[in-house]
Amino acid sequence: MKKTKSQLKIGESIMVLIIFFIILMVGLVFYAKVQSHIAIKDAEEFNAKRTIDMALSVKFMPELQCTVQSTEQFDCIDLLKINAFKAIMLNTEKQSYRRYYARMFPNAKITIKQSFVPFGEGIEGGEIMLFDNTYVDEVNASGVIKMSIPVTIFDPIRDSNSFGFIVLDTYS
Amino acid sequence: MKHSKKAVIEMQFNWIFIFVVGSVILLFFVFIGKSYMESSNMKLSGKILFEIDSIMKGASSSSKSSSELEIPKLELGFTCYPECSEEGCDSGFAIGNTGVNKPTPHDIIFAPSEIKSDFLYTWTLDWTSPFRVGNFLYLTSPSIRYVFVYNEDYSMSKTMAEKIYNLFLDNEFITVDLYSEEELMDDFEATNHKHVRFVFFYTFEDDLDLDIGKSDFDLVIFSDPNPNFNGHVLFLSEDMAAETGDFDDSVGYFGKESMVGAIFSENQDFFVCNMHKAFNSLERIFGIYKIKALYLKTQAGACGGIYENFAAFPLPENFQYPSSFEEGDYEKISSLLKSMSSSAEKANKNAIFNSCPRLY
Repeated sequence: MKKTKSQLKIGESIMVLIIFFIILMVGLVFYAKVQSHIAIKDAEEFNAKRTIDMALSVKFMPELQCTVQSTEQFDCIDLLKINAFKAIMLNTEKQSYRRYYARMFPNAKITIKQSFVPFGEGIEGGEIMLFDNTYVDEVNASGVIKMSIPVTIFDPIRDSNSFGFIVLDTYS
Repeated sequence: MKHSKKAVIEMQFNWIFIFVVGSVILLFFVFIGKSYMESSNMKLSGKILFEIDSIMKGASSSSKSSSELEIPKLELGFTCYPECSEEGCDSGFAIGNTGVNKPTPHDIIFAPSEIKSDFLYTWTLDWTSPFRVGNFLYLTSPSIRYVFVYNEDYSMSKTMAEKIYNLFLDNEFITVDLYSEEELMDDFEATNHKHVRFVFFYTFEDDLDLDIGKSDFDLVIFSDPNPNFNGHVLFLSEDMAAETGDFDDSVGYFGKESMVGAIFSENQDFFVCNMHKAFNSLERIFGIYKIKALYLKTQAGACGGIYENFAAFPLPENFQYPSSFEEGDYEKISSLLKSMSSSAEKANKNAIFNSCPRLY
């Protein structure tokens, strides 16, 4: 059957539209790729900021900080408070505390590492895992940020200070 | 010129085709544009919220600090409902009606329900009982004025108003004035603040008949201020100010920091909600000190006996700030806090006196 002139014109217009939409789709795909790249960058930035916020929180936690007559001593954590915190975390009867800290430190792990003990004994094994609230392991995580905050660890019983780090691992 | 019938149909078809395809393309772009706008608004709100959250976290980490922060002039809304559990409270802050919000179930933030300003004033005070429990964060804006009122007939009213006024002067950003009742009625000067909060340091039961210009106002009444900074507080909105305050509805405050918290809170519910969070923190920190006392008791040899009383202190299970104060609640909490404080203070004093490790 012979095609009329107007049928050819419609076909031509449809072709123009198809090409237009193809170009548009290519543009959208490109835009989506750029956006996803920006989103990954944003997520990294968000995770870095989240880590800093968490580091700030852990550093100033009254649960750990050394105090003298209730005045906080900066960059110092109390060894007995560390042990008390650990005991509270292990207490299965009071799960609400664990949930409180889980909310405060999502997908994160806090370890206290002792690096130098001038007198006597320090932390057994040199480190204490204070809190592990990671949802994924290191292998399966899309990103891990490790932050070490230098502190002095005060042992009230021996009245001695040692050097150490609060190591905060945040997973994403 | 006369068109053939076929040509007329072709032309009409072309126009219909252009119209349909044009509409489809237009709709497509409108849809894309709208979704882009929505997503970028959400993204921007999320970013701003995250920034503000970081700012607040920073502010609340450092105690006894005040700051003036420049923020985007967006409607920042704060909510805190008094129905809380040990899991925290239904509380958070959001930007306008974007639906982007940040839950704050445990953060102790005394604030108005809405801040729409270029500046955010932050202030933190350290709550100790007597060991450090945590920081109270107070938020306000330049559009709020605080007016403290005392009654000359009650010396304690003046003393306490002056004490809190002097404490407020530590924060250079907040607009605060101190008036006696007589001065307030005769010489009160209206300003162009959006909101005025009158804080009475005595049982004020009259009508507040003042020319305060275009500002709206509300009242906070500390009925029985005393040097221990413990007592009852009543919140009255502008509508309720004309009525006599029913002090049966008042709630308790415990400590200078919670007294300041009442001054900054939007209303009674907001205050109760934050006090609930504060008491949750107190219970948690007390638990830490109790275990620390147990360690000290067993390991400190001759010093052991010093910590015994505190280590055995019976803080009731699920110790909480009540959502509403029934008869005897205030006295019960007050005496419990007092005995906990004195037990800790005694242990610490004895420890220092006997050269033993301090409890706090």
